[in-house]
Amino acid sequence: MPFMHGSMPLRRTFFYLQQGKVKFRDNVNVFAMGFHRNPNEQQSGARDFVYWHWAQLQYHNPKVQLVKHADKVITPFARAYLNDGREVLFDLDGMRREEIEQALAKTLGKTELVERREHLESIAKLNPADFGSKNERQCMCEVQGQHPCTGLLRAPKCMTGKQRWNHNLI
Amino acid sequence: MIFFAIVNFQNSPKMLGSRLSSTITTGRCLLAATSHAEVTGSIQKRQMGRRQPKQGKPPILPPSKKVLYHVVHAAWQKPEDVEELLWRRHAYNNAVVSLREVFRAEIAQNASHGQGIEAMKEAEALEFDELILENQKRNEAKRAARESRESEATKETKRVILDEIHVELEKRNLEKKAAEEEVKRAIERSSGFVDRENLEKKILEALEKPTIYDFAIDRAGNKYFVPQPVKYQEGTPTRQKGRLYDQTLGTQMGMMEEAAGGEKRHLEQ
Repeated sequence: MPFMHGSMPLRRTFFYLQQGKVKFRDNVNVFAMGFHRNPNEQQSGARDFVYWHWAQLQYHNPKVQLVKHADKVITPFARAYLNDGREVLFDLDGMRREEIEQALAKTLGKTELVERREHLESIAKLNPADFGSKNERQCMCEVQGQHPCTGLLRAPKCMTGKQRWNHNLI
Repeated sequence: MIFFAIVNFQNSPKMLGSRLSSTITTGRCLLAATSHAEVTGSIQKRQMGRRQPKQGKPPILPPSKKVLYHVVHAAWQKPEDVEELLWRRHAYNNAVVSLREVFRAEIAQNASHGQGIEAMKEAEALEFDELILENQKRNEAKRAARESRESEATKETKRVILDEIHVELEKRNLEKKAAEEEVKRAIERSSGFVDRENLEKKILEALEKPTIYDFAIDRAGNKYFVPQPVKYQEGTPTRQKGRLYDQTLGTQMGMMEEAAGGEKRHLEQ
């Protein structure tokens, strides 16, 4: 099975996907990258970045559109399209893949300030009266003193929908 | 009448032959009669699955008296208990209202001191602008470096190409000079060529001094020329036994010198 050879299976593991460092801030809508398939020494960093970190990027930024431009221009580049119409261009000529990752994370990534703000917003959004998988409680029955779910404890017959109190009626 | 016909068929099997003709005419009536008999036999047969009746009261009926005239009678409580509970409820509500006020004031104060979410967003935008500017500077620096590097590379390439062109031109000049020399030598040699004017003279010369090209060669590289042809026949001609150079080697040592002489002549010519 050729897919299982080399570094290909490694970079598709869940653990490897989780190791990505670039988490774009909310301003970034589209991220495009130009690289070469047969690069020279100056261009090889961009190719390596695409090979190693593209899946991680998509994993950590599922709402960002990622575009690859292979063999389009001489100088490898990255371009981010922001939600306010601006474009941020990165010149990746002569950069190694670690440097590219660092540059992207520094400029487009979430800084400490952004993370703190998002944390505060998530706290403000949290309402203990909400139930569900995204909230503090999954179900009302987790609250002390409330009736447990019928899956755990059978409800009295009169409270189930099956109950009929007048069998003479059709 | 139809029932009568059925009874007739059942009772008299001998009449089977005539049944064919009678069924053709009365077949439809017979089917209708049997279905009618089934319906009249049972009360309800609708050829459908039994539908589940809806639960409870049909919505068109009025609510039952038990529900309609139900009055909630609160349990009797002691007056002092009611008083205590009322006081407690008021105290709790007041506490909640006060806490709300306190939290509102705190949020307003944070916002006014630049600690609110909006202020954080503004700070973020400024930070992002700075980062983008920094990135632009980096791009500019890289662009300048690349330009200088490429100009250097262009100069080097240009120099190499010019060198190659120079070498090629020199080579071509040398070739041209050599060709000119060759042509000149050919023109000089052409003075001794045979043409219409000196054709007779050259023929006579060739007859006087014949050049022998007919020779044999051995593995050592020795050449054995055919003897020079005699111009005038003297004496009795010998009978030719084979080719002229079919000679026994070593018996006519003088032939080597002759050959050498002949070669020399050939070269001189």
